[in-house]
Amino acid sequence: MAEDKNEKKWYDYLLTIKKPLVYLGMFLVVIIPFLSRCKLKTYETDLVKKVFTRVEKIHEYNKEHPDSKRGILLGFDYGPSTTPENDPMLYAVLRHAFLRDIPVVAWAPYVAYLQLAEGRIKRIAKEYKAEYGKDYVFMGLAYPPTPYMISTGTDMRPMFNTDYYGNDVYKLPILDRFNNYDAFGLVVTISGTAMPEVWLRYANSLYNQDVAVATTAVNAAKFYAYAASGQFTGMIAGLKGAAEYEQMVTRLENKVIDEDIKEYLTGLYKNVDKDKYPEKYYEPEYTKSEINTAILRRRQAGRGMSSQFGAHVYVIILIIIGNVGYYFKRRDEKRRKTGKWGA
Amino acid sequence: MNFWKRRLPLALTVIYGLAGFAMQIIPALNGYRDIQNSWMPILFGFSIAIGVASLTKYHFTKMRRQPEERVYSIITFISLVVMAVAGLIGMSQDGGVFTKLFDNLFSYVYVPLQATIFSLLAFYITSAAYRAFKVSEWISTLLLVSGFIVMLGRVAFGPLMVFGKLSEWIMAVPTVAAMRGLLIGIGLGIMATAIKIILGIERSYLGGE
Amino acid sequence: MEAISTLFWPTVAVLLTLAIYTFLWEDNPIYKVAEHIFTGVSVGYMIAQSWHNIIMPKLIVPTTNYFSNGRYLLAIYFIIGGLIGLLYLSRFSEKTSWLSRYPIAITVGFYAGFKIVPIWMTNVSKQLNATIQYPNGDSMLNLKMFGKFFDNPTWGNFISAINGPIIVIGVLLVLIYFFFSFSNDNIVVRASRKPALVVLMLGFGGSFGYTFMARISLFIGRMNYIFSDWIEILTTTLGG
Repeated sequence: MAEDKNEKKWYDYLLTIKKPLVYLGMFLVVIIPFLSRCKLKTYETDLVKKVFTRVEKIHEYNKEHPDSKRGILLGFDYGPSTTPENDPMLYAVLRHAFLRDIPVVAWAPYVAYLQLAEGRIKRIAKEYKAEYGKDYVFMGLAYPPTPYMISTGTDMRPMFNTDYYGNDVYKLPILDRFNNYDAFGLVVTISGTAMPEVWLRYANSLYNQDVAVATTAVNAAKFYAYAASGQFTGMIAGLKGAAEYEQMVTRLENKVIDEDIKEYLTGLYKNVDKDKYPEKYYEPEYTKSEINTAILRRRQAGRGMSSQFGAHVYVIILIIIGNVGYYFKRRDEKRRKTGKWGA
Repeated sequence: MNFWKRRLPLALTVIYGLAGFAMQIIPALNGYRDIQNSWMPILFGFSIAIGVASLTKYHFTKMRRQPEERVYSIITFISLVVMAVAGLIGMSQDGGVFTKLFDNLFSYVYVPLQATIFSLLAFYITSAAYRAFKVSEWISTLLLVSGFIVMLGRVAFGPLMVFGKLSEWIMAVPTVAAMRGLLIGIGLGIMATAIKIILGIERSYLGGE
Repeated sequence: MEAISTLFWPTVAVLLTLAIYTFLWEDNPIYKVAEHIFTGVSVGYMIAQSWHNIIMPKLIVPTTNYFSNGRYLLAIYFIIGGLIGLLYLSRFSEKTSWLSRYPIAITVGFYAGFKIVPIWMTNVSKQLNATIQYPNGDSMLNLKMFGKFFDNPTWGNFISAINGPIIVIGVLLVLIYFFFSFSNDNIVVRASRKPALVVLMLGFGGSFGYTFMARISLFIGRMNYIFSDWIEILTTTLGG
């Protein structure tokens, strides 16, 4: 009997899979889809479509009112730790805006986000020949964010004094018009934190500004309540949301540009006045590896979705294995106690 | 001393709290509000300095006290100096060696390291889910089932689309109800604390003594 | 030579990524080196950025501007702000650390007063409003929807008829559950406990599913970097 107790039953093996083995499995289910270059098309949901159509509406409006265009105010509210989820959202939203010639004003609320924001925004701007100071601007740090959001109710410029690059804010033409909520058709906050709630409190509640959110999946569940109440104009949630938006923008891009992306990027800066693009913001020419990265970036979220599928199924199986082991172990123990079996 | 250490800070909280509330609800004070707004970032700016300085201090103490760990603290210190110098010089130039170095250190050292350290959570959550998620009551089964549906639903395609529809319903109806209840509760809680702070009842933010 | 310069930094990133993952096996010197490089680099980064993005544009530039515009009072107010901010640094000595209470008292006080109204609107009034009517103005407890279902009894009509009532009842249940969580013999409170838990568990389940998804995405992002971006750079550079 004593020996019996020490002997490992089959369900004990199910309950005690070693950690390194669990981790190894995770590596495999994530890596294999990358190596096999699986492509998984994801279905599109209403909340993501809402963001897309809202941006399209701004485009329509701008076409009808070329003298009083509306822009997008972009809250770059994420840091390096959530780049895998937030980057593809940022790329897709910015591509959409630049593709539709919508002016973009961006800022970042924490010091750690600054360099990240600067590098990423200029990379996408370069793909659409957007001119710094005219088509887009990066204002730099808005910390603490509250006073900046409030001052945008009247004019954000006195709060900033200079943009990220140290230019005087009163000398940047884009800011002559795009300095307060009236000029922005939409705030898009791309976030790995609770910053979207701060945007709701100040931009939405106090100034009735439409706010769309692109968030990591961790915060998404909470934000569903705000999306259902109409406080958020649409929501892009997690890698899946990013993949949806990416799909929509790529469809639009194929329609608008109507040219192979590789050829489009190669010829982009061939016959342009390079003085319009100071090197400080980006170099107006493309290297081969830059083009390749730009193409890869166009389906960054979509590529991850097959790995995501693998990992989800993997963990569900693990939990089921654990529960099967647990169920039989408990049944066994109960029987032993009541003396029906095993004694 | 009690006046300088305790009463005056408390009085400042009450004065600034009432001023903040008034500036929020009285449109005539908008001019003052804007001045106050551009004043606040200066105060916050120095709080960042604290974080920086205390970390540096921590590594210096560690270097002194734990000789076997010294090599790591030296590594920290060298990378700190290289990054700070590259940034301070690089950011005031347009292009150049330091700018490039700062950019590269940021994009290829800082970002991948932070992202990778954070991504270790993927492994921990998997292992924790396997160990901890055991069905013992019907109510916890509900949590598990709803979790499964959402996990499958978010990556659904083809025949699995039924999970897609179900997960959308779970997120749009029961999750909204649960989260809304929480949000309202949290909102009322924050308001109550804020009122206690400006009335001088809640004082824990001033620390001990 | 050019191949080395394009490949060098991305390869550093890959090696550092792998160094961190060695921790999954066990704690080891390679991991520790990577971790300490990270700490140093992140603090160095903060120093550089704080100088260029806080001290310069938020304190020095506006103060000198106000002085040159002749707005001396404002300039002095900014200098006072800078001085009060400096008091944060008193925390480094236990004797003087009470001085840091001044900047804390001002910021905590001001934003406590300032946020009461926005929080009320965002978290409470707008959320309550959304529990009474949909954003398009339809009532959440719309009996016409049930009428529509009885006229045309499909699943879709049934679901859209019951969704509103489920949300309304669910929110009420959760609120009762949290506000009366201490022992309470009131019949309504007792009866609502189990149904409230059902709503919460379904919600938390969804929340868990999303959290899991997020964590996995982080790891996928790193693998994406190695197996798509880096491999691409490697093959283009080496392949000519």
